Amino acid sequence: MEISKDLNTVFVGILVGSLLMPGSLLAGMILPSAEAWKEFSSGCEWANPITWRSMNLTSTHLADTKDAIVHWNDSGANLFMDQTTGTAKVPYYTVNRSDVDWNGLNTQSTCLNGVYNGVSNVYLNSFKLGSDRTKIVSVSAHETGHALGLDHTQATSNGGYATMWAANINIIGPTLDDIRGVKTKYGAVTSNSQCTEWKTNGDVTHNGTCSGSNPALDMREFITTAASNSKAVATTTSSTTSLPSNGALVMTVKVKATTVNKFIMGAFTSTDVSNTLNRVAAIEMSSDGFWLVRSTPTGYVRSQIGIATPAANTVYFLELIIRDDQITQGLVFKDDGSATVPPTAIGKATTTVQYSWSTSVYYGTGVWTTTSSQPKSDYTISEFHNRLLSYT
Amino acid sequence: MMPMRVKSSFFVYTIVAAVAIGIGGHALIESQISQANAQKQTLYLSASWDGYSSFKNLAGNSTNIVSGKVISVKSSDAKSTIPTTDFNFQIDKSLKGDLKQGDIIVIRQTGAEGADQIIEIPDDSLLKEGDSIFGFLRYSSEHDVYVIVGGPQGRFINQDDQISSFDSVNKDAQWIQIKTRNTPIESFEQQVKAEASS
Repeated sequence: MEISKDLNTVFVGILVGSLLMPGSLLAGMILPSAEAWKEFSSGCEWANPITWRSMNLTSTHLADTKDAIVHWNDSGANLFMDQTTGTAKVPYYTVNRSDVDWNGLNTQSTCLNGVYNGVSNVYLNSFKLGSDRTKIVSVSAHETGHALGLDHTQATSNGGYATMWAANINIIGPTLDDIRGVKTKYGAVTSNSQCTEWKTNGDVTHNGTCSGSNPALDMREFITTAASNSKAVATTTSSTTSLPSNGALVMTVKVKATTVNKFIMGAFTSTDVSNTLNRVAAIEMSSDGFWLVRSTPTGYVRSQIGIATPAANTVYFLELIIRDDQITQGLVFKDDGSATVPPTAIGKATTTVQYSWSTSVYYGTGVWTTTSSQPKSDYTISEFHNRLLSYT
Repeated sequence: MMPMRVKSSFFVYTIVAAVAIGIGGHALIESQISQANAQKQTLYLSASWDGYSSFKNLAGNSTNIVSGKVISVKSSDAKSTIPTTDFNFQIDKSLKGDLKQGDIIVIRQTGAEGADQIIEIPDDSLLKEGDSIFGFLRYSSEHDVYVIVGGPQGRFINQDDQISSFDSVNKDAQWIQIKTRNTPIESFEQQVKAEASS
């Protein structure tokens, strides 16, 4: 792994140099991690809350930075980025610089006794970012990751892709490797009542405290059931919890179909998709394309995400973000199957749901069959994750 | 206190330690230089660029493709919130754009060396006087300077007319996708031209 190579080049320096190195510096070192991510500076982190402030962000940059911060706040790590109007640890700026070629820039905070004690500025370069909202969120999330103390990832431990990949690849929120990074750095959330652990290989958790009587559910069983049942959506349910009134639901999944029919990931209030009162916000992956779906009092409305149609035996990343202001975004990426090739952005769609989510909801992934004559689909999912957390 | 990057620290300590255990008189000179540099605090920036996977991508985003040499530091602004350094760069050959052999242009890079600190992007370390590079550049008419497209991605090292990508000399730039090692400059130019025009 690249990090090992990096550190090997200086390993002799460690051995020899450590003979004369002051103890305080030596104590601050971190041994090479088995993970691909690495920390920006040795052993330093912010104390919560990590205040952030828009110094002069454009309205677009501000909205997309909020999205980016939601992603990190919902990563399951014990970090809380709070917006402030006062002095901020992480100030965000919009700059318009044609004399640089970077999309975003972050300045490292000073560090004292393992705690950042200064300011870590984030600059978003509108000259380079233009109006590409996916790119803006991606760059803001990336620079925020730096501000939190993460360095660039050069290869991910799970073969997937990361927000902290050095070149911007339109990954808008922390993926598994990023999450491992911040969890290792800040610890995992333990006092939160929400079961937000990222599970792989089809396992899924539901909102609530994970325990013996409230275990993580195996999504694969539900998909099997749904695939043989018309008008069904496989899901895991929460009977008592509504979506946060001031926060966001972020859902991600990696999915592959042997036969593409209808697959859906999202939040809804009824498992009966023919129920006209059902409230739905979801990403649908069907043979005719990727769609952001929302329900209205008169039926479902679909907005196409990109123009591609899903290919069989191809891995896609789906990401759904439902914000408290009811703006809902659906994003799709294609996994090109190599740790050295970034995923391809298929597209992004944005819509606004017409009502709040102040009711009990179901959320999950599953096969969506609308007629019993449609062929069964064979979907494999992994890295399904619900992140449901208020950001204030 | 300003944090020092671990690798830089290791380098300094390696030299200091080498002196301590008496490895050659030459090391003494290096030690003195390094100790002088060690007085400067190093502050690191982190930048993100668009990713480039082919010469065609790079060339398409470049106003100029040139080879040449850094002849001097024109100016340095280490005190700005976004520090930059302007380098005088003499053109040896131009593959794209209106520059010609002998022209001297200004390449602006983010980062600067001040009196008491060095500020730089680890994977896009500052150019140095005497560096010969093959560069994919974008002209900023607003500032009348050139920038290297994609940071380290558009910067290729020319050593004795052998071209290597920047990751060959900077371990932090391993992530770049267009990699080449010791490619004869004629072959490199042909490849760039072919892909740029495809």
